[in-house]
Amino acid sequence: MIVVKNLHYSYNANNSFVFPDIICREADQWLIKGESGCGKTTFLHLVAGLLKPAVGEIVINNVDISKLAISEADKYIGNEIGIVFQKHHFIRSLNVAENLKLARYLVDRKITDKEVLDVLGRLHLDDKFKSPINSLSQGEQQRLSIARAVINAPSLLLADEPTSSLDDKHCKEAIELLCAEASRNNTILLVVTHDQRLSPLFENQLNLNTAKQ
Amino acid sequence: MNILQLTWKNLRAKPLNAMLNILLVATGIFIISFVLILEKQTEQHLERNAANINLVVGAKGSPLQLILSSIYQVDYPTGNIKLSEAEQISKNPLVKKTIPLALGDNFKGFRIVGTTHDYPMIYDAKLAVGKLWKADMEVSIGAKVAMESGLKIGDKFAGVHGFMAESNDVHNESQYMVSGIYAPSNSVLDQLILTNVSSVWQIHGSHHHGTENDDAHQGEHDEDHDEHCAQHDHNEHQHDDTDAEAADKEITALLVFYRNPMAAVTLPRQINQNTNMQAASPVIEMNRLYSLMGIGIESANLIAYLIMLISAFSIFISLYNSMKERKYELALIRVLGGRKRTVFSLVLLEGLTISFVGFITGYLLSICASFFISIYSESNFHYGFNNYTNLGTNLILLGMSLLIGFTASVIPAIKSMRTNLSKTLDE
Repeated sequence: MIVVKNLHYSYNANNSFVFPDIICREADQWLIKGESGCGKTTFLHLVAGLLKPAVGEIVINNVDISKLAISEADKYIGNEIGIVFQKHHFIRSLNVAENLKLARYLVDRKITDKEVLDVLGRLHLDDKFKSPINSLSQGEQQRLSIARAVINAPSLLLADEPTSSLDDKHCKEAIELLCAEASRNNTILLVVTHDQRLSPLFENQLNLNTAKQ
Repeated sequence: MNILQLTWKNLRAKPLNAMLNILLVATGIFIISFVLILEKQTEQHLERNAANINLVVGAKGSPLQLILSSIYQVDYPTGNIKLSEAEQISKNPLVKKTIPLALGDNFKGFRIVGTTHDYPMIYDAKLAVGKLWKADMEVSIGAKVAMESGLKIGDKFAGVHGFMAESNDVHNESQYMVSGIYAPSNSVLDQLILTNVSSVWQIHGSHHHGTENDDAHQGEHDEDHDEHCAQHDHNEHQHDDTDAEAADKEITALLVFYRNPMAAVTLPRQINQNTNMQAASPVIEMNRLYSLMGIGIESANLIAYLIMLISAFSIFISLYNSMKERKYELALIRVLGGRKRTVFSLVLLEGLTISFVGFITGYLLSICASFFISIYSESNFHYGFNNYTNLGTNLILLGMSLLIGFTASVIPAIKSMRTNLSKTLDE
């Protein structure tokens, strides 16, 4: 369960945000909507622990991540939160499988080739096990992003504008994959987007348009 | 997948950059290490062979040449001295012991030295088989001579005139016989053929006048012949009235051991001023040689340290640039659960790996190079190099390389550790 309460953040005096409270239960799937510049990415980074809030709490499975020491936060977030970034960042010197294994290594856990193959299979990347990142298409890179975000079976899956660069067909496919992966482990899914095409697909929605102060 | 593998793959992803940096470190280490090996080996050979010889007396000429020719058996002798004059020195009360050396011939490039049984004793040489030379034309040969020439006890061979194996002036008429073979003594003795002085006289006495005119037409060899061969200048002395035979005889050099330190003050001056011989001190001449070599060694080292400095800069620039290119990747590692120190050590390890591989490469290069130099000097001077490695020095060089890797990578490492994740990933 995730509880976000009384969350404030400010970059400077003219640029501060107060975010609405939100409570997500296991397996909930939420759409976080808002115009450009309304603080979507800030909200996502706060929930992902990349930013420290000025005020407020972000409680994931009874742990307030805004209160964790940096060294604890890194591991906790690595284990509990999977993120699909808007741009697809990978370690270019590693191949597909190695990128997935690294995600597991960094939280001090072991992984077998079978686990890697399983997740690649679910995301239609079966034949890319040893492919270099540069050989993947945009769509494949996005699916690999999803694979990496779920490889540690996190409690929370965050997606930042996952569909903004996709056509309608791939947009639907990407969201279906995300939702399918989230439901496998009863993971909470938060999709942050301004993409109107996604609105009909989500029951739970949060609008951030009023967050900017 | 662990951090070391990741470091390795990151380096392999930019092979040219990595290779350049490794090459720079390796070149620095190679020069330093190679110069050290050369220096050490030369010093070892020189010291071992100097064997407490206090003074060398020989014909006038370059003192360094006299030392090199009579102690290290590398250069040509300066000429000959009269046995009668040399004997005067032996009788001097300041002198404890003298050893005569009569050079002139070689066998397959190994010098044949006419001397006394005292000579092998100064190198603590022990016979492996057979016995010391006793009668004329008997020889005891060094370990290396036996190994390379295949001579065995009882074998006979003819000496070749001069110090070059290629000379065609072979003393076929009188042959030496091997009576003993020395165990390796790790000194100049290993490459010598020892016999008594009178054998050398005998050879040159018997052939001398018959071949001299032929020699005169042989260019360079001719000079060696007249200058270096014992007992050549018969004509000059044949009218000496007393002890004509002894006065006639010549040796190449006399090794002198002092009875007390006072001798060092007076004896060399006495000889240099009052006789037409010269006295050279091995210590003084070798120090002169070292100081000449020292300039070369110092400039080589200077170049090496300069290259190491450049390599540090090069590693720094490479890492700094690649940190900029890879800041997303490093931020990603943090987001995926990597700690700050994981990112820090990842960058640091890249620098250290480059310098470590560079060290290993340079070290192996220096071993190969000294191996080839050893073969070269073995065939040219019969001086080989033995143990190439010196653990202590290598550890210092390793430490130095790692320090360079560390210094070059610590700033990029700190910088990437401090990256603002949210900002980097949002860019």
